[in-house]
Amino acid sequence: MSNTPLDLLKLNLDERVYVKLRGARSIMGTLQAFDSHCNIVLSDCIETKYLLVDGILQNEERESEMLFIRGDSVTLITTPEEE
Amino acid sequence: MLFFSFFKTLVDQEVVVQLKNDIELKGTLQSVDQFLNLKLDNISCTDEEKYPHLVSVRNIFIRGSTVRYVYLNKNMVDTNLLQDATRREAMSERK
Amino acid sequence: MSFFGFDPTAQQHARPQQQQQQQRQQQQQQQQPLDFEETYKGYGDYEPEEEDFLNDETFGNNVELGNNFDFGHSQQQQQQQQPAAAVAAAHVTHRSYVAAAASGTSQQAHMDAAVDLRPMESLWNPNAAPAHAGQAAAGEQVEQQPRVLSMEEIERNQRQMQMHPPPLPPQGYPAVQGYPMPPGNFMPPPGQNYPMMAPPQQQQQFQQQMRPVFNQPNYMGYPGNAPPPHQQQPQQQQQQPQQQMVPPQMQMPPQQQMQQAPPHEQKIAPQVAVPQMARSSSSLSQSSNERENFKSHQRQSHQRQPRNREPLTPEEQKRLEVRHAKVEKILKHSGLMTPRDKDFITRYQLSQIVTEDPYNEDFYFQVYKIIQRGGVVGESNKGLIARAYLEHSGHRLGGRYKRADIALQRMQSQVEKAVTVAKERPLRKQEKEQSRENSNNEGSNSAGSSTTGQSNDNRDGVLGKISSSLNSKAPRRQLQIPTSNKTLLNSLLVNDEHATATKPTNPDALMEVTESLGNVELSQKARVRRRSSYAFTSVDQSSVLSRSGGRKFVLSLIETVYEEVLELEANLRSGKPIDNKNLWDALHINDELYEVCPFISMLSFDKGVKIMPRIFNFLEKDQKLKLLQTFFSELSHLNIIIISSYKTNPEPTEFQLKQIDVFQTVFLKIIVSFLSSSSNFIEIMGLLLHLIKNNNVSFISTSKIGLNLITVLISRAALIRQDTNRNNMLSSPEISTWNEIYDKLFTALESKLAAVFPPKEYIQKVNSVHLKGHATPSASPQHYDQAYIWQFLASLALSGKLNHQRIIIDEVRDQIFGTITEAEQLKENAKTPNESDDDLVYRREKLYQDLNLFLNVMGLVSRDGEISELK
Repeated sequence: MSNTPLDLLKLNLDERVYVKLRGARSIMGTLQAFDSHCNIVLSDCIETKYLLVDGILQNEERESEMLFIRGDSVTLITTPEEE
Repeated sequence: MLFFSFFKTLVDQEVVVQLKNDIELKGTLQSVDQFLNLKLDNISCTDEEKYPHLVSVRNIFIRGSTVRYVYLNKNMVDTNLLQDATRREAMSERK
Repeated sequence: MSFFGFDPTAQQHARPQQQQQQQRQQQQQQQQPLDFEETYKGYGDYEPEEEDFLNDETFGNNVELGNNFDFGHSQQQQQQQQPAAAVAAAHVTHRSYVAAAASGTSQQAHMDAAVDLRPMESLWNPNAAPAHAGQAAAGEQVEQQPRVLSMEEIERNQRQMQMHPPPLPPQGYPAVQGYPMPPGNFMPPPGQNYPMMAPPQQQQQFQQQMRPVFNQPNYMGYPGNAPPPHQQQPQQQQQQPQQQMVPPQMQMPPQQQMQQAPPHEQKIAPQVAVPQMARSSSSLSQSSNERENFKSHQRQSHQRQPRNREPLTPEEQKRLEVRHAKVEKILKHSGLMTPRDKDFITRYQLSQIVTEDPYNEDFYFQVYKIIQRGGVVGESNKGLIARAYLEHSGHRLGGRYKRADIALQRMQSQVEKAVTVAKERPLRKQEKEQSRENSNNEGSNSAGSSTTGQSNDNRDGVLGKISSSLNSKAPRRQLQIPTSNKTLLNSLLVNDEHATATKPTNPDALMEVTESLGNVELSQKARVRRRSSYAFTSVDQSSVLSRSGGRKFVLSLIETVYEEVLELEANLRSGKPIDNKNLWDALHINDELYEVCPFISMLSFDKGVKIMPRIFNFLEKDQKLKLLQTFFSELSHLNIIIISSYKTNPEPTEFQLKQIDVFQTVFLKIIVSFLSSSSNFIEIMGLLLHLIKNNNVSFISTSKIGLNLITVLISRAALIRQDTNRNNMLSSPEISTWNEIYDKLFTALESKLAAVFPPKEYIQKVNSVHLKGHATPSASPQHYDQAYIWQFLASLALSGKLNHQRIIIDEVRDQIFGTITEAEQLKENAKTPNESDDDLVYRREKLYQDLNLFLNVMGLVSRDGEISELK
């Protein structure tokens, strides 16, 4: 099996992944689909938005059962646990 | 083409689109093209106080590049099929 | 940033027209990135200009700008401003063209050809193709222009600019700033700069870029003429660079521009606007694809132009309006896409039509639609192909349409059938003796009826009833098997016949089984594995995975398997020959490199389980058998066993319970259907032997999945034995082999049978997780389905002899009476009005039904708190 970055992403189809996005956001969810633009569909996601309120870092969480993420917002994709 | 194909199955379904400027629009997906530009019908803005200019808008064309998220329901997606389609796409790209 | 250039903070009455114009330009700019180099084209050919006395005005520095800026409308025409502006600009073009004719040079002619016509062409000519040709030619011409400006010149110009900085409007000119000042004698054909002011969205990108450069000298070349259109120049100049500067992320037009614009527009002179339109529409009427024709026509109109300044008659005006409307209609969407865009789209669409396999390109949509409504409208061959995919992929097996208990139902029906058959079979000698033996005890009635203090006598009595109850009455009526199960039963029957008919008397296989039985002591390797299975005190998935190459390795194996399956399915669709060698290799069934077989680790992942039915579609029977042998041999390493055992995973998560469901739905079903359709008795014995030999059976029996797997095997074996009792007898070595294997199984489980019932804490935990998962409070809160345990016990009892059955009953007696007590408790609860009667009644029925499945094997039945003989 070749080892392009997208092949690595493919390994995690149907697995939990952690996606970091522009704008201080991250999402944990089960990878259902992706393409070469890093467009992504996740299921059972928890989105975390990081906000700085009066200099204090705060989290805002939001759950969604199915989510399409446009690839140009994605900065990195990884798996949540260590191997 | 995967996501064009994907979004075509969502036509006539109600989706919530979040744009990169945080505006969030709920509406019926009317059409989509290969750039993932979206046309929404019967839209409502989830935060009308913040975006009052959208109150009177009923349908809208969204340039695909301005989209951040599209929120969907689980029952709109056949996940096994979608994963297969993703694999097929990845395979065909490698060839 | 705002959406489409709209600034939510801006005043609501911000000029829509301006925004629109801005947006169009932005779109254009996004599509064609600026090429800075092009802005120099032909520029260095001219000497620097000395008397740049209008420069200040050009750059808007403390100079009152000309007041004749005119887009060709009065205020009341504002809604139509955009197209009208184009028309006005066209007029300007004509005027300056006169000058061009008078003073054009050959070089200017080049420039002319390069620049002036295209916007007009695309304006009036919807056919993109000729425009293309023209564009290409023009592009070449531009390319030919030598660029003479040297570095020294640029530096000198920049020094000049630093010493006499061109006055800039606050926000306007960063793009222009870097340009050298215009050379002095530069006199381009005036016609060329004005068309650039024609609807901006019409123009090619490089024209826009040239505008700030060319406009200035041009303007300066005609100081004396300075007709009203010329005075538009500063204003126009101000707008253009600003618009150019707008980055692709939509920005608001600078405030300054917005403030400046209105006064000019207000000063529009209607009588000027009208002839402009007249001329442009006459151009329209003569619209031609030929550039030359068009050009000459334009010249003519230029020459006529000065005479046309007198007001129009009402008739003319009316005609004009009609034409104007036409122009507007054409202009409405023109320029949204450049010819290149259009060409791209056309080719894209063509590629869609031409593609060899549109189904491949649009896979998800095509198949999804068929799943949704059973076919695409106007079913094409695409539809058929997609349907073939569904059939071959077994997609629905693992799909979301099937409930998890289907496989269990099927297994249950297998057990029920076995029990049923057991009741119907004629008395055997052994049992006759047994019945005679126990007939003395018959006097004591319904031994099981008392809920406490069962004595050995009672147990004897329970067993005694088996003999007395052996009659021909079909117990199935009491089992209340749902009708849907009957079809399943029928299919099982059919499968039975098939299995029996095709059952080859395979002496080799029998030999193998017998040999391995003779070698009852566990092999060294097996012992190692067995010990390691004890070591699983943690449910950490990685502990298994690390011993078969690591998580990533296993995931990559799974994806390879998917690829092979998809490939085979594609071959199936296209009628190519099927060769499953790669797939078989990808499964790593015989891989001895790792402590845990990679195939077993693949089943740790849901997607590894879900693909199994599709794998089975492509395997030969012996491959399937080999796969299952590996599976049963390494059951203790199977992640799903570990997480479904209350011993190793006393607090399962919702996610793990879902995994268990998936496994039951998919894999158990495969096994059941394999066993019932194609395997013979010896093979089943072999699988059972693999299980017993290599695993800690008592541990496996504490997991729901493990117990179900054992149940599947022994109930199937029991069915075959019963079946062959009627038709063709099993050979005596087969029977003795079976007895030996059964003894081994029973020995492994003996004294641990009560442990197959999970403890209360575990049940509560599972129930609470289920409750959390499904927010329906009506789902019975305390209910944990123990049917699978009774099915196991029934199967075990079914295959055993009487002494086995005694031991079973003895060991699980507490659970039997516990269940009866629970059922009666529900009856008590039903009397209180709080709870839903139907639900309680149902649950009570269910408890008895499950329990009776087991009791029926021994000819007993429990109801209303009592255990009695099965009549």
